[in-house]
Amino acid sequence: MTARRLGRYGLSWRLAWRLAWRLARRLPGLLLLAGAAMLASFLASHALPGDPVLLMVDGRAADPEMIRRLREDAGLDQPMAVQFLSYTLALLRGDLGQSLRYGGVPVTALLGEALPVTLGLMAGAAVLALPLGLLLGLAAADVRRAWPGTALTIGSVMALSVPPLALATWLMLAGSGTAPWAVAALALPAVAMIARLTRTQVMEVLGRDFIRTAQAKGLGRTAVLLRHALPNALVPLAAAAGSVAGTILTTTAAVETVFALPGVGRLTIQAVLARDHTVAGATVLVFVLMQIAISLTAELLIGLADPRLRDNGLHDNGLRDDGKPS
Amino acid sequence: MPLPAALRLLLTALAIVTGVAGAVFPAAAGILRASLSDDLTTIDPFAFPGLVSSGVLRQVYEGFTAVDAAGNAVPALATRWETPDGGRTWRFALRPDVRFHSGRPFTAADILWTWEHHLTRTPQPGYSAFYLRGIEGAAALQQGTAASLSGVAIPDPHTLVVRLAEPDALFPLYPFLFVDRGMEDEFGPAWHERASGGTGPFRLTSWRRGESVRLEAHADYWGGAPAVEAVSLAVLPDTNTLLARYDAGELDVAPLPDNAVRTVVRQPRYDGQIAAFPRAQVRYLALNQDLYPPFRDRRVREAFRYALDRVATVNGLHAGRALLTNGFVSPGLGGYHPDAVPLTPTDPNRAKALLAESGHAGGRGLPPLQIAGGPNVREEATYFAAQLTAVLGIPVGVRIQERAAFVAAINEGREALFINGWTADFPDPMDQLATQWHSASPTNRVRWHNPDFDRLMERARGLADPDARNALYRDAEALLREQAVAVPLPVPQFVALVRPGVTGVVIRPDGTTDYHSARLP
Repeated sequence: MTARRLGRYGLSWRLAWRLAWRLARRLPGLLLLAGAAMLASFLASHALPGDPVLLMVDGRAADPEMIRRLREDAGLDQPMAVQFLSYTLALLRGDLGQSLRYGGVPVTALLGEALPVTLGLMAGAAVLALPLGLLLGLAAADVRRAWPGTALTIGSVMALSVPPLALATWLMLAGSGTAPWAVAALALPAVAMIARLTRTQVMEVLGRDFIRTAQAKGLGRTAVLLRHALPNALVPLAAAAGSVAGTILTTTAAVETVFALPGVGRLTIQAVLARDHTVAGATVLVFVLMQIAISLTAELLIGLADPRLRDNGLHDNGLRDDGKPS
Repeated sequence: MPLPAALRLLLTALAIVTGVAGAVFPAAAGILRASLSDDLTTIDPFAFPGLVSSGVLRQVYEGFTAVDAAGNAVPALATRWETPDGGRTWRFALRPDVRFHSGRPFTAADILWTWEHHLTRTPQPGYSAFYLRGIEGAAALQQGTAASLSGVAIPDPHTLVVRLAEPDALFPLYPFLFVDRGMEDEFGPAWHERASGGTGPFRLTSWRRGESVRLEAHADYWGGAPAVEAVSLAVLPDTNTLLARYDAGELDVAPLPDNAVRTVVRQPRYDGQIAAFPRAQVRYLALNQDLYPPFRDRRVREAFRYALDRVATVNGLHAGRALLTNGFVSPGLGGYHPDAVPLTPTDPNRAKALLAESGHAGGRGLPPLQIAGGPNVREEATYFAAQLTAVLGIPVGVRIQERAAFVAAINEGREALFINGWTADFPDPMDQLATQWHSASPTNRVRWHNPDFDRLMERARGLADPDARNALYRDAEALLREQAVAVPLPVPQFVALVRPGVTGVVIRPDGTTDYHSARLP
């Protein structure tokens, strides 16, 4: 017993080391990716027609001298290459700059206000989606009746096919724009994904020999599902956690916009519309970093959930598109 | 600040999971719940506020004068203003017994401090700096060659004398926001984030960026304490969200975006809940003569005016809640009454004849055009483009651009035919005439230049008597009409949904919603 437990701890340490080493190896690439994404969004924001200062004073009597000074203060009078360079240097110093739209408020302050809203929304959606998705998936894995599976297929296709903005608008109108419906709007596509995946995995596991053995021992259907089928289905589910979380993340902007929640998604859209270049760049960076964090966490989960990986180390290519360990 | 929102969302999710119904946030006694069409950009009265910020800040801070519901200038912190020399020197008698939100008394020294701070603050010039540059010594103070504003004298705490470099009859009307000079000493440079520094009917007590603004009643307001304890303003840019919240009983007042008015007012469930207010705005179809040479022929410009059925759009697009005049100034603005000129009728035959006279019968030889505009004029532009094509035979398309791109294009003079508008910042026709049509105006987007018009504007600026000024404005408007510089378009009213029993909410012609007289059922 003791020896085995020690062995297990040894395995965990080895796995932790492997994960840490893997992360360290990938860190430069990830930083480069984040930086490239931020600069790309900054350039894209600059490439759009429209001037943040003129937008700011739109519809007001503003004299050219004032416009000139506002532009100067924001560094917009410099050639694009100079602006790009000073922005990059500031980034390397860890300075995300200031918002022009909000009259010089540090971008970090805006992110500090918006991020908890987005994380709260995502956490709420996850809390809702995980049990609901598992439950629906298990219910639909009933091999004796066809209708639960059919119903789930139709429902999930609808939930995943309708554009997030349309789905959020529909749910917002149905629920008078109240917060519970915002969480539901974000959770719904995730529920569909988890349920479909659970159903597929559970049905696949139910066809295996050890399940027949369990049934032969006289175990009831529910016990078989919960004790044998579900734990075995959880490994591929963990592998798919990345894409589920990714779906939640990319849907936040639509949900925040429709439900008027002051999160990072809405901040991004407002910044792009106001040509608030520094904010647009920084919010895109936040999304990229969150996406990176999600995929790293997903890999960690796979590593912990799959005994084959615990023994052989993590697969180099991360996830396969089908959510199965490669 | 946003942490409560995040927690609320998480708790909501848990509530759903555990089967507890999510709470709807009920109305609290004495709090009026309304909305804003966009987030504020700043709550610093010295910074350059966007339009929405400016509307909120005008509930909190005041100037010499204010605008009443009809568009007239009325006394605010000045009870009287007079000029002995045709607008070069202004003597203001300030309202006594006015208290700031801090409890400190308002005096002439606060005005001087506000102006000096405005001219010397870094990094950004504030909005009012634009109106201060005419004061003697403003340039010297701004450049750091003087330590104080030499053109301002304070004979006693409630009298302020201002000397201007040039006569300016409009000086008392400018939208100043006077600030409590004790705020910076008490709270430091970022005082506005910690306290409210105005004399207005409401104190600004909180701003959650992107989410909400809270105003609380100023009990010592010189015009009497507001009837409501507070006003809570939710930032709701999306029309569907706005209507959903109103329908759910979460809003007492919901100002509607222009393009939502038509569908909302026609719904029986909103009967008796619609309030409309005049808007100090001019709108027109702009004809850029620099960019499209055929527009240099007045007959072509007139043909465009006769070809359009603008009356149809009043009912068709604005559900009757719009005003169509034949002029370029909002009637009633600063007490202005335009000449009674009948509306140019729609007359396709006359339009065709004028085009033929100009040598372009059936649109021959006229390059294709596109009506440009922001997203809010898509239907209007489409309707007019179809009419121009059908009547005049010119291929006219539509180019709708995202707002920022459109503003950039017209500022750079890159559009030949576009729908433009201007809402007055202060109650005088000068703000609609000179800003749009004076040669030197940076917002003359039509690029029309006329020395006679410019002279009328310059003369009017030096006339302190409003009646004499208005006579010149009527001449200027007649000139614009006679020259057919653009085609005046209907101006939509401000429309808001107001919950039954809520009274006294007024949207002023400049777009500021005034909650001072608002009462809850």
